[in-house]
Amino acid sequence: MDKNERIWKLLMYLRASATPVSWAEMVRDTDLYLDDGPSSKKTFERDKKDLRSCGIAIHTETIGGSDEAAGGTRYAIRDADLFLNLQLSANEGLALEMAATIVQFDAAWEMDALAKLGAGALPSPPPLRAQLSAPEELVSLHNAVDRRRRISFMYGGVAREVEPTLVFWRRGSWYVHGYQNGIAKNFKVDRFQSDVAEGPDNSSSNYEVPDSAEAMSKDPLLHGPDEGIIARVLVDAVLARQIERDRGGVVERRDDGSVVVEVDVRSPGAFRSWLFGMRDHAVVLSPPEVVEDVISWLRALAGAR
Amino acid sequence: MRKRRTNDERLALQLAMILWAHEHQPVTVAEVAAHFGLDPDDAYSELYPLQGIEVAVNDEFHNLGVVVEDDGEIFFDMNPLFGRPRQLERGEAMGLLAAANAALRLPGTDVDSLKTAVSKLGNALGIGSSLSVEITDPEHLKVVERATRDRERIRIEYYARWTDEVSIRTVEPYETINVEGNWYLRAHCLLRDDHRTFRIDRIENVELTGEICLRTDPGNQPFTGGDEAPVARIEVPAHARWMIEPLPVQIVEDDERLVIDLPVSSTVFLESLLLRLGPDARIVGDDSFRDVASDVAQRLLVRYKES
Repeated sequence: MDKNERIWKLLMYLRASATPVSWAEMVRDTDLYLDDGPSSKKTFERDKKDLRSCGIAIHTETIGGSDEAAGGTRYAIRDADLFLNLQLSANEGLALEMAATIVQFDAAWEMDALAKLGAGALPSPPPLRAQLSAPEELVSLHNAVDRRRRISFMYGGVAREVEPTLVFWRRGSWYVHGYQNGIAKNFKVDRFQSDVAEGPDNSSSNYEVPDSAEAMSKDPLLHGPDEGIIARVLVDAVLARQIERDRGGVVERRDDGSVVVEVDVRSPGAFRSWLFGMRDHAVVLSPPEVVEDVISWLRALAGAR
Repeated sequence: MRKRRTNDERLALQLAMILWAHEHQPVTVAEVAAHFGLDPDDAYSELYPLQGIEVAVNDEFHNLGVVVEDDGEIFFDMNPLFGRPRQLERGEAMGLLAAANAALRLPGTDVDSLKTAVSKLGNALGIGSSLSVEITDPEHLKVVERATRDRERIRIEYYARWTDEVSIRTVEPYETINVEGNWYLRAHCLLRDDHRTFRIDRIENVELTGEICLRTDPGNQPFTGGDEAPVARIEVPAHARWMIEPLPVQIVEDDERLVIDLPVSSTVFLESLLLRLGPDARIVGDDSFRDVASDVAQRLLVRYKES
């Protein structure tokens, strides 16, 4: 018998049987497996694995009593193991298909999900497409947040135990927000140095779930202490519109098209990175300590041939 | 002709096809094939054997109820055992919900239907939406998306960071795609008469032209750089690792020191990177890039003297 046919018949048999069936009953009542020997049992195990990989879980229960079958296993595929109770309208189904075609994980989770929901290929590719990485840790992290489980992992060479509250993707990277020793922190998933170990359900405190903007400021210049110093930066005309659009904060417009913007400096490293991203199209005007810091940096670079 | 598939791929496809066909009957094999993007013969060869699936349980015969007629029409006599959507694995459920939630904020989606679908999915899956995907929506994305969808030429004012120049060009959009968090437009540029990729947040202005695109998409091509570009080998201080994480670099050493190879199509980007990395970074290897950092630093120092 062809393997595909056998798996389908196994599926039909387990679905159509009113009560769970044992391996011995399966061999006796069907022609799916030659005998109850180890080779046939191995084939059955492989068939179960193929069904599982298609999302069809086989329910198992231990046979009670005291006869020779006692302690063995009975198998069934129940409605709850197989079906998702989901009644989507045609428009909802199409909207989901379109969404999953627009936002794609590189693990293709959403496409596998759509196949199980009976969706096919869209008639034409969408005009927009966003590709997201899907690191191995993601399912585990989501699971931990959803079930309020503590997690532990190595990060920055240090073992961490964290109560996670949110997993979010921003600008190409995944982050987990959570509490380590009661202090809110963000961890970049790419930098995890070990697998994630999950604790039991509800082992994490019931912290309020922030939105991603609360968890980590969207402006990298605002990462760092709560209070910074305000710097004034002159940006040349060639980049003025872009900076005004992206950051705002324009306090002066000059005739040559350049603008002066005010920037809240909380982390000197992040500020320099932003500033030097504009190369010689931006100059810090004030305060003197920030100007001096930038000039010292440039002098060191100019001398380091 | 049937395409080669693994057993689980074959089973998954058959399950998806009979579910869709069951919901859309009366339906033909050709329609199923079109919906799943398959060759009709391939779809037929996957559906046809399902007619013979029959098992006896307590002397009662059960079959799948699929009948594929010679003219290609498919019928279902009964399908109480399979005609509903199947359970999703954790990753699938999470991925679908996150994709749907993220798409809600993007142009081109049926927001009302998607909202109710997301709500139904969340309830049915019994998982929370504690996975947040932030996809930026730059100022001109909507117009670019519309032009891509309608195959309409657009005129853009664009700042190219690699050349440090602003130019006005007419382009024929092929695809609008978000990679590593940034939106790009892949298009034919009439100014250069070549295939180009533009970062959408660097488009200063955009206008629809009303003219239809004439070219067909030649397919994806590398964004920038490429094999031909010379390579700068840079020793990066450990504290600046975060700056090179998003870059298309090759790490050549990562033990006592961090050394990367960066393809350099234009020194403009290299100047910016070396300024950001600071005096603790240094070019190793090729002498042609050795003075890039000091030259740009001196240019900037002149500006500070003037200001």
